Amino acid sequence: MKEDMPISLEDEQILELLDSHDVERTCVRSSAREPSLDLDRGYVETWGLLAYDVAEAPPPPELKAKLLEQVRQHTSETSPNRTPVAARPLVPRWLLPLAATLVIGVSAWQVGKVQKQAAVIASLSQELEKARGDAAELAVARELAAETRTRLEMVTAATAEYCALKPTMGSPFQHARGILVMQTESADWFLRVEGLESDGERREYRLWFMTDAESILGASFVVTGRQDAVEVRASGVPTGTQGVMITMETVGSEAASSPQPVLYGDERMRLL
Amino acid sequence: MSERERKKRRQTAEAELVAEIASGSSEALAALYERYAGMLLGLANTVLHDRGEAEEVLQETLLQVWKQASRYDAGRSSVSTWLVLITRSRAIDRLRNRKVVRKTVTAAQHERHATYASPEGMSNVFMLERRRRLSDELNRLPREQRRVLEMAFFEGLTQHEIADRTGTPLGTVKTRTLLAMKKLRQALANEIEDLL
Repeated sequence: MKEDMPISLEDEQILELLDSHDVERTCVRSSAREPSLDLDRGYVETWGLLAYDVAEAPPPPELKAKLLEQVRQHTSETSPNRTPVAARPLVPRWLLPLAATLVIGVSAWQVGKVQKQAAVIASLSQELEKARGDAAELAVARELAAETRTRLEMVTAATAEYCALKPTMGSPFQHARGILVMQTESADWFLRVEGLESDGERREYRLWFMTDAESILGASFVVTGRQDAVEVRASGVPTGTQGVMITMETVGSEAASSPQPVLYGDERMRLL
Repeated sequence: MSERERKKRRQTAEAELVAEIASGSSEALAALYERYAGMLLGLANTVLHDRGEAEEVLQETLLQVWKQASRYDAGRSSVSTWLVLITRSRAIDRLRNRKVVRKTVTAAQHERHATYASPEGMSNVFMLERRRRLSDELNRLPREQRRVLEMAFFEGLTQHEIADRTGTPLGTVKTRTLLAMKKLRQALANEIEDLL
């Protein structure tokens, strides 16, 4: 047998068929990418028949079901009508860069807006703090105005009576002076004293209303340092008050237990 | 109806099956599977010597048929050859990728000639007859010619690789291959005619 015979064009094509694994060129419709193999089809079928030289291998029963499931999945993935909603793109791809730009722009605008709002909030906070301070000052002023109005009404009332207080003989505060205004209808009273000084931490001053029968404690107060004046307002002028005195006593001591009168007044007068 | 007419009608029916698959009929694919799965799995298993991988190749082959049925050209090959060449191509691709030491042709040949285990596979009289005819003609080939043909088909070796593997001059390998192909082409003329 000749082992090295001349090789014709058809022979080359047969060998090309055997060397190639490209099914595209053999069995599938010609494409522009791969020129088809121009070969006697009998050789293609001969080549294919060689597969019948092998023993059949019965596939397991589940293999068919698995294949059909794969086919079903492939169909549902490629069919536009069956595409699951979750798998569909929410927006066209071309819209994504535009959407990204829009998001960045909106974000920048939002950041600017937030920064402006933060500045406004800071400014309003300062104004609120100031307003709170102003409100506190206003409340104090209102209280002061109310007190002043009350005192003014008291001292200018037609029923107001006055009692001037002067230092007693032996009083250490010979330059001290005081005046007590009493409302005879309401029994309210108002005391203003000048010239009293602090005489130790455990000393306090007491105002006594003097009637024919007894001395009745009206109020007690302390003087801190050198105050220009002490003002006290309260209610409860005892009936039958003839005069008043201010004593300097020990803090917490019994009423009038060791009185030391420093100011005294026994003349009630009415100005209006 | 003569035997030849029955075979012709069978070929026409297979081409129609592929056309139905192209139009989306999974039932047609299932029918094609029933007809060829055993043979294709045997082919893949012979190439790969791995049952699991062979089953994967069978799956991939039929999935490719499902996807590309519209591209099948009945004027260029029979359905049977189309399926065989897809399976062989995929199996050899895997074989090359894993770069395993190939078993000898003798071992593969022994496996190919094992007793058929599947009664279902034997039920196809057409395929059984085809197998018998091929086996007879292969046995008539000189041993060297049959060997180069089997190395090319089942191991995916090129003529150069066969020459290197066997230490035979390339021209001799080509001559043996061509002689084997031409003898088979002539001897199986009737079988091939049925496929055309």
